[in-house]
Amino acid sequence: MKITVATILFLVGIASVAMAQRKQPTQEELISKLAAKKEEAFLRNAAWRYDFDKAKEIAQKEDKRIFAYFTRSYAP
Amino acid sequence: MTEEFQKFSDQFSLYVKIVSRIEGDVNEDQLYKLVGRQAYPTVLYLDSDGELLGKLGSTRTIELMQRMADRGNQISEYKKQSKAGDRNALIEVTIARLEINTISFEEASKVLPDREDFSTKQKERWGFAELSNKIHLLTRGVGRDSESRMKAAKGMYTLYKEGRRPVADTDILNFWNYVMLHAESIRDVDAYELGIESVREKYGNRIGYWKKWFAKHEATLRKLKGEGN
Repeated sequence: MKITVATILFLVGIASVAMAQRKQPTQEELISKLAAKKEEAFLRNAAWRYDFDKAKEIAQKEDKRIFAYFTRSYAP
Repeated sequence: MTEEFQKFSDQFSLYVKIVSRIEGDVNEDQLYKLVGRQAYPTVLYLDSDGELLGKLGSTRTIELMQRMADRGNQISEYKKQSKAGDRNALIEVTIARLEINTISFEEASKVLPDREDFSTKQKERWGFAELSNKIHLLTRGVGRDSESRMKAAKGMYTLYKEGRRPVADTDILNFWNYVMLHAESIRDVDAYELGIESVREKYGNRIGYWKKWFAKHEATLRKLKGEGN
């Protein structure tokens, strides 16, 4: 019984280490994902600004409100 | 949608924040600072000072976006008028800020300590905002442990017995889940049943998670009524 418990704990430990070492995206991959995201039609076909201060400046100058879209590129 | 959106978006200054997790990326917590959580994608409506005027739900149609913008524009106008000394505009903008959670109930009460001149509708909205705040405070920090959940449930049941009923989407399920938790512990069948029906009124036509929710709670109701499984 003690051997079985020890074996189970050992296997759980191995699995945890393996999961922790699961491949994280590299910086290059993240940069590539960001570039792909920016190419999506929704973002390419309208006048999106990536600088919040600039968006505020335009809103103040043209008496508009800000339509803000928060999204991510590192995961779907 | 894209062509339609292009035309629709001309009335705004468009801003996009793409969280990339690239080293050196700035403002990754910008969304959290605005609404207290990070969930992507999220659409917000802000005034030119960057103050929140509205948030779009999970359904993103042009019609709903326009509705969000119309309401936000109204709040923005009230904000301008209140700065010029308009009392009604101050009431409207404060209640609106409460409803979209950009100020706490305590802060709103300091801005409007005297509420005798509220219209009937404003009093109603203030009451709902106060209830929403109480629900939020009761459930803030509740963990998975039984003791803290039952404490919150008892508090929520007290609100129920006072006749309080939430209307905000974000409050309905939270409120009734806790009321039903306490109702089950004291075998208040009527409260439990009302909870199920109140949630059904809002979410009865949904599928997935909701089917399981209703199945679970209907089984509990049958047990409480002594009808077995």
